[in-house]
Amino acid sequence: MLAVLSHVNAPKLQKPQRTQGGGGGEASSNLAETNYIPFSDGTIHYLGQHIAVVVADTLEHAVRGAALVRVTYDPKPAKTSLDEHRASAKEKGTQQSPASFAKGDADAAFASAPLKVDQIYRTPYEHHNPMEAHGLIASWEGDYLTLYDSSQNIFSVRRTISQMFGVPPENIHVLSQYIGGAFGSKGSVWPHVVIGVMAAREVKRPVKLMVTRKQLFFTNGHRPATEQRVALGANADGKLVSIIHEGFGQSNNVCTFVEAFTASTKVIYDSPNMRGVHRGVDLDLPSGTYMRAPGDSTGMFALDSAMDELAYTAKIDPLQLRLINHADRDPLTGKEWSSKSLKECYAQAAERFGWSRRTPEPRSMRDGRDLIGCGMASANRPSHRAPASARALMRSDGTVLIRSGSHDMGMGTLTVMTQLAAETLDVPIERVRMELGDTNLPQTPIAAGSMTAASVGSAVFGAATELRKKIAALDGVDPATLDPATYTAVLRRHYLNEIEVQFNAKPPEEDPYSSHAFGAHFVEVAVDADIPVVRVRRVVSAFAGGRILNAKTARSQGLGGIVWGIGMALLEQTHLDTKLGSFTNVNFGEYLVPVNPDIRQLEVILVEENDPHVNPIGVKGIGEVSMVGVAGAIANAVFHATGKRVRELPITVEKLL
Amino acid sequence: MRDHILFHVNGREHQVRAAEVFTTLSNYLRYGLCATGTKVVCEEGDCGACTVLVRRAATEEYRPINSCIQALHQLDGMSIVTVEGLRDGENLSAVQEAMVACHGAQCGYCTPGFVVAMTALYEKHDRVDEKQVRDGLTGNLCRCTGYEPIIKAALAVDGASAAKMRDRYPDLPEAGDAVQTDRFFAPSTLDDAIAWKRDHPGCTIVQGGTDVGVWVNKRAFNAPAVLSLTKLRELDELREEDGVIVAGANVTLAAFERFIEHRIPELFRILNIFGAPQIKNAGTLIGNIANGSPIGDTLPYLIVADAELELNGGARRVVISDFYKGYKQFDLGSDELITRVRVPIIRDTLKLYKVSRRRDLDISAFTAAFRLVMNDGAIESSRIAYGGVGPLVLRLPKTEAFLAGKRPSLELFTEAGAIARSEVAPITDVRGSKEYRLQLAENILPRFWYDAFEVQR
Ligand SMILES: Cc1cc2nc3c(=O)[nH]c(=O)nc-3n(C[C@@H](O)[C@@H](O)[C@H](O)COP(=O)(O)OP(=O)(O)OC[C@H]3O[C@@H](n4cnc5c(N)ncnc54)[C@H](O)[C@@H]3O)c2cc1C
Ligand code: FES
Ligand code: FES
Repeated sequence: MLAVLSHVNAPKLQKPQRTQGGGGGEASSNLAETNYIPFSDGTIHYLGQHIAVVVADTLEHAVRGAALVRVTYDPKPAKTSLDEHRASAKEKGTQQSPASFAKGDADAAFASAPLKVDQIYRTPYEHHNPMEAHGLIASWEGDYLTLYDSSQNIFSVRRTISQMFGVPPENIHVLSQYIGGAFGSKGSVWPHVVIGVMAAREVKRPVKLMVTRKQLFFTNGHRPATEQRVALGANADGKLVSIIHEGFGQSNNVCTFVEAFTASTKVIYDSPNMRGVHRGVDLDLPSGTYMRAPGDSTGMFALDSAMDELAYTAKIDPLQLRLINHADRDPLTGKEWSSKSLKECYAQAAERFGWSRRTPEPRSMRDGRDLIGCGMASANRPSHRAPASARALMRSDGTVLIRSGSHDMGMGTLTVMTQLAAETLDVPIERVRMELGDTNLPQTPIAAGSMTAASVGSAVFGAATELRKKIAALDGVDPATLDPATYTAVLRRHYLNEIEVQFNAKPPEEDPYSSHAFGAHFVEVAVDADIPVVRVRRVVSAFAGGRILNAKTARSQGLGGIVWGIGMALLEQTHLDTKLGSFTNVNFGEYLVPVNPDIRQLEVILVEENDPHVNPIGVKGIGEVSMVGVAGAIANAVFHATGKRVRELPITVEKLL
Repeated sequence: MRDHILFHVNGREHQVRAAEVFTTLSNYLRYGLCATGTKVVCEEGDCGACTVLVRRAATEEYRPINSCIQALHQLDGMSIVTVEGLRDGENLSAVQEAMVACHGAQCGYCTPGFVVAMTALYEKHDRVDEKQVRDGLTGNLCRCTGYEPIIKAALAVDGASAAKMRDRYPDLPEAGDAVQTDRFFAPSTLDDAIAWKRDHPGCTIVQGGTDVGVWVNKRAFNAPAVLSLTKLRELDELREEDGVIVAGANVTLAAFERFIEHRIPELFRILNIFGAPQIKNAGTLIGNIANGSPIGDTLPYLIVADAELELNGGARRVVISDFYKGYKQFDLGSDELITRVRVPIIRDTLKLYKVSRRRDLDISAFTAAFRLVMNDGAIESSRIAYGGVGPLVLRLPKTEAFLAGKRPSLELFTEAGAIARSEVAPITDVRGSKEYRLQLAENILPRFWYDAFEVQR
């Protein structure tokens, strides 16, 4: 054994300053648990917190050593139940999503509305469970650190470690070239990163640290459980006059994260009066964090379930109800949309699905012993963008190298950026190569919030455009008329082996438009009448996410998102034992995610949009909008099949008895 | 007596001895051989990221198993192919090419496991259909792609051109003799096996290790002595004799599944959704019996069929329902082991049910078996067994008595459902609530009536 580190002997670290909310282009520091420096004192905030690390020459020895560590505890009462502590809910906003919004007088309008729905919806704790657990190798040479980290936010890792360990950021080299899935769980600097870096510095050797699957359930974030009230008031013709969306989710006192489930409510349906607020209940539980489509996937489950209830109350077809309440402008800000094709999404998906063949009555469709149901829902996800930089280099042999910090967790960043650069320069894709996942390359934001394509894409597009200009300038010609076949000739004529430019792309300070990706899901379920197990038979989804850079990778994001929605609707839930404050089903045997036979017929329709406003390349992002709404659509289909309204996810057999 | 074990990895022989034989295959590959293509995600057989191919005997195919729950000692005499062994020099294999062409990966972490499992599909066949593909890949989780492109890739493989691993790695190490090293013993005679078990209190038999391997990884289980029966070739036996299937202790669930496809189609249907190929290729039928879980999926059938266990090569025979004494309590002496099981082929009216949260690759919440002997349109006698509603798989004597002599109808089975409900006392756990299980105990009877009598009309 080489070392045992804990609060007893750990070196003192600085608290990093928190700037921007997470993904800022200036690479804000981003310690997930803002108010907790690992091993800084003997306080245990939640079960599962790292309290010591054992470093040894082999994994076996380290595991043996860890088993020998004796811990004495000084017990204190703990708050673990969301329900019991609901009264302590308080507003906790984030930069992107303030805790509350209001327009008109939603309560008065609701009170006097002829048609009303007022219900409580709940969503459970969920875990990202990327296939690859978090892990790192940290290696110090004097004051220089090389850190291989499975991260979707390398520049923020660099900044955070730099501040905590008191070394300049230039001394820290973070690499993350391949990432085995993340879904938000690798976007912040979790305690194990700090601990691994600390351990390597103490033992003066490279240290490898892998988080186990079980630990992953406690120390690297989760989707917090929520309880949400949705109250909808409408006129007899189905037009909404009031939307109220309020509630709370689990939070804790070491981390600022709350599940911002009212975010979509501000944009998706039109109503003259609306208000929303999401609060956090600080419990002595592990920290929540953003998980694929945070806020929107949980919030839209509640809102679109309520819309479905309203459709039955008003005796209006659910799709028709959504068309009646279509928002032609951003309902809260009144801004124009940079582009919006939600109606096309509804129309194309409904047509392909055969929505018109649905009989409106619940329990009216059958197939043998199976009850059949069809449901639908809308999807929305804001199109964010953050500052990002890229370099483009052309060599005299005609090959192009694109370099940008960035990340590829499988969304296809490498593919899409290579393609974008090739198109912009008008050269064959085989000649273009890209390097990423390295803090020695130009800076980019976190790969999350579906903003990689838009942010990094704008930078790569800018760099490629500038490169073309710079080559044209050598000969003093117009870049538009420069023949790409002559690039190399131009370079040679000017005795250049290579030519390079850097481009720093920045979103405008004030955006006159509201930019969102939209979509629609139509789902058919079969519910076994005796066993009430729900099977999703068919999903047809349409997404409009601006320009589609690559249909293959976009479709793949779409499918993946739908399957996440199916998991959320039917299977995924981390159980909490409130006596212990412990998650209990902390493995893949009991935390169920969909397997291939659960996935039958999925259809993704990509509705192309030409959006001149959203960003230079017209891209909105598709990785998350695809998941938003699926759970609601399934819950609505289950109601249609069975006549049972399940307002608490996941929809397990128990809830259908 | 050999003091080491022998196996091949991608055609090269490896010898391992002493405590190292208890290392998992995945750790040996990753840490020992730096062959890191094999990924470890769950360490308990649930995800397939660690899938490798193994071949046990010259008469067998290469089949996929999960390397994370295989101790090296289980691999004595076998040939293993890892994802590193699939590539043909610089060229990707046909399966890998298809995955690229169909965009079958996003993050790629599940990909090696899928590629190996797909390769297994094409070992025997040049063409496979969607059902074979879906079944063959049930044991592999992917969190990114939504599976569809992977299924498409598997179907797009040019099977005729796909290299067969049995041709590329045809050899097996010579390892028919007994092995003893550290706490591990694989004898070549039954008497030696019995003596070792008798002389080593707490000795654990490890066959497929699909139960034991999970205990080792997740509960730090450490047996004082480990016994393997795999060298007792007579226990490979799998044959039909006078309407009874005789299966030895080495018969895997997969081999049994293939054998009963046309003999007991109803049990075949259940085995089809049992675990995953990787689990069934390693796990044994007798391991499932000996593990004795109240939700073991083979048990309801074996109980209504009156299967019989043969202990110590025939020294004693026990009817299966007498074998279970309480939760994980067995009629099995410390000097006894199960050598064979005799499984009668039922020709009466038979229906089996396996209910789980996720239909595939999930441990059951509830299981049931119904066997009716009909006489002139009436129920002469019945046997009903339920799992997941108590510490043991239970027979339902009151319900059985109630049905005797009556004519099947929806009303009759609805009433029988209420009686069945009163005969069980389930508990709530992560797989299902008490109320749900009670309701299933009731609902499943009218459902049985529907499936057994109504559907035919
Ligand atoms: C991912 C996964 C999914 C699974 N899915 C299912 C499922 O759907 N349904 C289901 O029923 N089970 C399931 N199982 C469990 C199932 O695989 C095991 O019960 C299997 O049948 C055990 O066989 P084995 O050879 O692997 O046993 P081992 O793990 O080797 O042994 C199991 C037990 O049986 C004892 N034993 C083995 N052979 C003998 C013998 N000859 N005499 C006396 N004792 C003996 C061992 O000592 C041990 O106590 C699953 C397991 C995993 C890991
Ligand atoms: S690592 Fe998941 S099955 Fe082996
Ligand atoms: S591609 Fe990421 S888990 Fe399958």
